[in-house]
Amino acid sequence: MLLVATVAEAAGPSATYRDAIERYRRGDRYVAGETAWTERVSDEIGQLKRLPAEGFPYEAAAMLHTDRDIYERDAAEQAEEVAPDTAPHLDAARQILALIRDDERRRAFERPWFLAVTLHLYRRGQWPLALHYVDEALRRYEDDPLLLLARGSLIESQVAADLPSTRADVLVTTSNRETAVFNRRSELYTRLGDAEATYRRALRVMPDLVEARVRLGRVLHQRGDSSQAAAELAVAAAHPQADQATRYLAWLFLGAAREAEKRPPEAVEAYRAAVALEPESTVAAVALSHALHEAGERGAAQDVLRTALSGGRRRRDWDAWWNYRWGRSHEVEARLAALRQRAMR
Amino acid sequence: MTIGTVLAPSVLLAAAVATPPVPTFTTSVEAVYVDAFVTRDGQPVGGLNAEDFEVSDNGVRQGVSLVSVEAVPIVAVMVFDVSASVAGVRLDDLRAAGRALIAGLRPQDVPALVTFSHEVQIAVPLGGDPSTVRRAVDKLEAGGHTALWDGLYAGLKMPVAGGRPLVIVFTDGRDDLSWLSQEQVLKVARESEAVVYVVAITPRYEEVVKGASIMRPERELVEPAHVRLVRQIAEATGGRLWYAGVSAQLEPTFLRILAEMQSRYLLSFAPTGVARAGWHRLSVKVKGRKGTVRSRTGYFVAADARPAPAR
Repeated sequence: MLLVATVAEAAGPSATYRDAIERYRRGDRYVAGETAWTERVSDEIGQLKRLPAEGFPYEAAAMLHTDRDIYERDAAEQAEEVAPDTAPHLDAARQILALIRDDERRRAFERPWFLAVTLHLYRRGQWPLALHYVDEALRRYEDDPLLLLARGSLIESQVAADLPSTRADVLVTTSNRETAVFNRRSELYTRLGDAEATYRRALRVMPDLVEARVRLGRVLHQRGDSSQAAAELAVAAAHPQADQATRYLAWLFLGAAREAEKRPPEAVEAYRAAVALEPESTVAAVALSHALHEAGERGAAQDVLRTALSGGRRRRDWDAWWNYRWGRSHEVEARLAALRQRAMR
Repeated sequence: MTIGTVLAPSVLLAAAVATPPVPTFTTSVEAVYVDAFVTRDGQPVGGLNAEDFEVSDNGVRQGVSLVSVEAVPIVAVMVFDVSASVAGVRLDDLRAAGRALIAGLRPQDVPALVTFSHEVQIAVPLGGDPSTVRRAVDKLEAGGHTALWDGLYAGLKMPVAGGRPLVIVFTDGRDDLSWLSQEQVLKVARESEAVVYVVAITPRYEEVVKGASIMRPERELVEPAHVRLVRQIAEATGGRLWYAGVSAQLEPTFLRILAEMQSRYLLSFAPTGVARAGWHRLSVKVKGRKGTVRSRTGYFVAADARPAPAR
């Protein structure tokens, strides 16, 4: 009798673990917050790997672990603790999805899961970890334009956060500070080059992914190629499939590229287009005002500010520029919800 | 300080006429104004005359005259950080400091209020009466990110209707969302007529690691980059950076700035012996006595600048 039980255990994960997955599959998300099933995760996955059953709810198991990761990060945030820079439950989920032998079934779930997990970590500011997952995803789905877009955005966000404004920001690693600053800036320039290459890959797969073209334009501008940047941004601004926010960003960035090209009238024109799209935007107003100032139209620069910034009220809760560094991470809830729905059926 | 983009000192005209013997300027005379603060051993030096100053424009000595600051209104533009980190006691202290500053202004002085979080607002433009500004200060609310450079730009671009423009910036953090860069705003500040004072609640130093050997890193205290940048902007205009330490120090700091503004000297000269257009490097010294002068480092004249009409 004892022998039979031992053999049965060796043939699959524990009853506690199976029960948690089954409860989750039936729609009980709260099981993710319980601890009993989490105590021997690596053993459970080891057992799962020996399980021949193709009918096992791998998707539910993966989402149970995904929701556990969300639960733990939420708890850390509420306790104002530093969120962990490892993700054992996401790693467990990744291993579980890899066990699905049917290629079509696995790809149908794994690809959107990788994107959702990348956005989940992105939104929480865990950018190195997010980059780890999106790179893992791109090893399997190298031509996925949305994964490529997320990767490029993440690199941009990291560079923006790391960009040293002055030498005082640099964690100096050599005795020669000037060399250290130069090396640091070179490194950031190289990373932006990586983002540029990533956006170009995305656009080769999906030329109409306008957001990738806008971001490509901005990265080119940041790398000093404002002429090429302006060309890409002009295409994006005129693209029929560009949504309002993307078109607005295209005009804003085109204005910046024109300023860098020392073409003030064209910068003013681009910023005016941004203001026309988003008349309530204080960002566009400041950009236009400054361009007018630089063009020598000091009075007009003041008029724009007076019109746009006066009134003593918060004008808007949202501006595409304010959210630029967060990429498409605002989509995370919808993407996770769609995955849960599929896992729980 | 340049007034009326160097060419039109109409800003001072009314005051000059109203209070003889303040010189009367006309728009036919190109005049440059330099707002200077003189200290010795950290204390303001009073009682100086025009002949006590030595002013050079691009290295060429200029003959200067002195304008009575009592006669000239201060145009005080408060630029306040109302991002999330200011919420709570800090905001209460900021409101109190703002009220004290308004109360400390003379009847002829003019206040205005700009606020910034992720969004910049001209809460009260120039021209409103002080009670309007006081009410706006009382209603300040905090939240969101920090667009410091955009807020400072808006403060610098407030249309000065008359007087000596003073921009008082309060911030407790580093910029994380501005559209404009600090370099762009520094350039605007250098070209502006305003004296910029920045009051910061932030650590004076942060530790960085240096050293060739990763095994024996040397640690060094340096001024945080964002503090260094606002200090650069303030000093380029002849103002300065104040560390408030804790928010309870905001009110005395604001009042000290106001007192300093009233202790400054307003120098005037008609540039001679220098090319008109372009950047003019200014040097202001006191002659024959010890003293440190804080004044703007230069002024800019656009190639196509024209005299502004008299108001």
